[in-house]
Amino acid sequence: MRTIVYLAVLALSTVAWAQAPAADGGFKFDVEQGELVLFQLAVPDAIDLGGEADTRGVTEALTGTIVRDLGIAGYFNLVDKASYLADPTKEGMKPKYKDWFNIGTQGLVKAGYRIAGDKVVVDLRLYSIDGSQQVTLPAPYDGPVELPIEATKLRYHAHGFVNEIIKHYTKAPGFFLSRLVVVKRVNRGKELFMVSPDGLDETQLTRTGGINMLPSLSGGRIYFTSFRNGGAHLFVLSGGKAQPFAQFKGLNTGATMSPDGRHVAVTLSKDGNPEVYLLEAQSGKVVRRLTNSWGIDTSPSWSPDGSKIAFVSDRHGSPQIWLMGADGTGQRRLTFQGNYNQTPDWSPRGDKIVFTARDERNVFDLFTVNVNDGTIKRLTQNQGNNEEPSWSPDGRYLAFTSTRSGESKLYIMTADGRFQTMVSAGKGQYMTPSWGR
Amino acid sequence: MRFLIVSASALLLFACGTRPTQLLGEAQNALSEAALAKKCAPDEFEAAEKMYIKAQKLADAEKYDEAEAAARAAKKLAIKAQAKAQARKDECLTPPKPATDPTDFIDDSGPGVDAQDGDGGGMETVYFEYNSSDLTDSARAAMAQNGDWLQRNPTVVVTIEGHCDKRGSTEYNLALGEKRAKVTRSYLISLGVEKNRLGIVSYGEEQPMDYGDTTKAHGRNRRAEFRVVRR
Repeated sequence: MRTIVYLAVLALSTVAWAQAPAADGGFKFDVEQGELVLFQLAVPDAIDLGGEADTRGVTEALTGTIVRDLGIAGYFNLVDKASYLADPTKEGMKPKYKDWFNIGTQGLVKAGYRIAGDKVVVDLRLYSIDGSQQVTLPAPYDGPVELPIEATKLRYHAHGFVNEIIKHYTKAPGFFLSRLVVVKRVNRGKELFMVSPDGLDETQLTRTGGINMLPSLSGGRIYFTSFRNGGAHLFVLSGGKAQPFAQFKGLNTGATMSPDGRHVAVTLSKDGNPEVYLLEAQSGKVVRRLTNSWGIDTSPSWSPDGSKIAFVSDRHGSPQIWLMGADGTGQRRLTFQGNYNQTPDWSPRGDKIVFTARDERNVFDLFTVNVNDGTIKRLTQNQGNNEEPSWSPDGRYLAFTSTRSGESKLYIMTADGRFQTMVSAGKGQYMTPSWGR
Repeated sequence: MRFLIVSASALLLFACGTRPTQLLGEAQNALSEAALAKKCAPDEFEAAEKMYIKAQKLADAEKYDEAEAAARAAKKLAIKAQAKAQARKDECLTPPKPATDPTDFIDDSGPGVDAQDGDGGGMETVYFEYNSSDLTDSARAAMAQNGDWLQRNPTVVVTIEGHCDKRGSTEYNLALGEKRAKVTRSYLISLGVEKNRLGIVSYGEEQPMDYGDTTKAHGRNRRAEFRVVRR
């Protein structure tokens, strides 16, 4: 277990710090893994710039979203509002830098709104306090924008703004405009839903009342497995229409698209037992069979360059992670620890594969394995069952499900496992997230 | 980071327990209340009776978990048999008519999951060990009875459904469920049942018999079930 020690901020060495009421804001130093510096941000509530009163949740949709997103992103510490020296409402959109500098924040997020009828003018700004200037952001975050008063649209704008904040501090943009497809239990069936990474703005994609599962979101297409025709068959959802994709005899499950979008790797049992096959992405025609073993071969995941495929095989007696060329050649076992390793997902960065393992206490946890040297690293521990991981498009985060709060819910964590946040907002069980790439 | 060792002690723990006296009693009561079934649903009644005898034998052999599952199944079968007998009461208690064409009974709504038509007839559910599709001794005993029943009901066509407990990945469990269904099918073929009477489908962990999260619930869910799709 890691121990995190909170230390008062001395690094900024301002005398005024000692007068600040709250000692909550501080750098975190990770004892075991070395120093971790959190970016200090202040995010006061959005302020009214002189329009109608906010009775329709504009502040929540703006400030609420920004605060939640920064929490999910990790790497940021939000300065306690009780320690503010300035009154954000009176201060307006332009900060007195000294007041914010003196409470030890590096950045300040200002949000303002002017409501008129069913429209609102939104002004979102990021100030660099240590640099004493407003940070220039690209459009549409370079000035006020008029938006309809709809929570979804306001949240979308705020998500994009947070992406820019993350890019400013970490040099790579955030993921908050990406989407995930998850499976949720609905009555006795399972249906597909699309959600934002904050767990909100959920859209139901299937409504068969039966079992729909194993979604894979890629290039605007969602491949999924459905029992609507009696067995496990593959369908593809595109442009709001679901069409049959593979309906061979036996199992047709778990399609994942190749990075170039031309092929789909799937599991079919049409020739005997479950094997991995390559199909044409558009037509569903079999290109070739990739595995041929007596055991179960399933759950393919592409390397980002499209040259290799990770998969699960129990040909040595227990399910393990295996690798092969995208043409099926050079099959080799990658994991040797544990006797129950499943659901590999190859990092978009190429170096690691995340997977679910059942450990010695029969608990399911997430691990990564280094593709080159086989080094295993644990990401979750002592937090219920953690399963079905899926990388963010940039490979810096993982979505997964966990039972740590009781029911299986959706979580996002940083790739090193340091920050783990529940993001499922809705009721019910969440399963098998697929983060769109 | 080691997560290798699965000790045998865990398995031993699962084997402990006490004689399921109450469940055995319940099964016996259900059987004695199913008097009508003995006359009007004889196959079903016989299956329930056999399952009860098996439960007793298993309990005597101190295989309490299996005995409990069998007692539960016996009770369920007895109740089902009685319900079936009630439904057939009128035709059963009136003089027999000439045999009808078996195709009259074809259920053409298909073996859809979402539909799940058809019951198990006189066939017993077969149970499996964790992450295994091997037939245990008690599974083989159940299969022998299932084989007999199919031989005695030669027009019956069944779908064998492979199921798993909820542990492990959704996709792997679909594959494992299919393996269980296939092993079950092969064994019935080896007992002389025609293969065109035996369809298979895997539901993986999607259709648990028991929604619990206990060792017992998992045991009840690792199974091959039979659904009669044509009589």
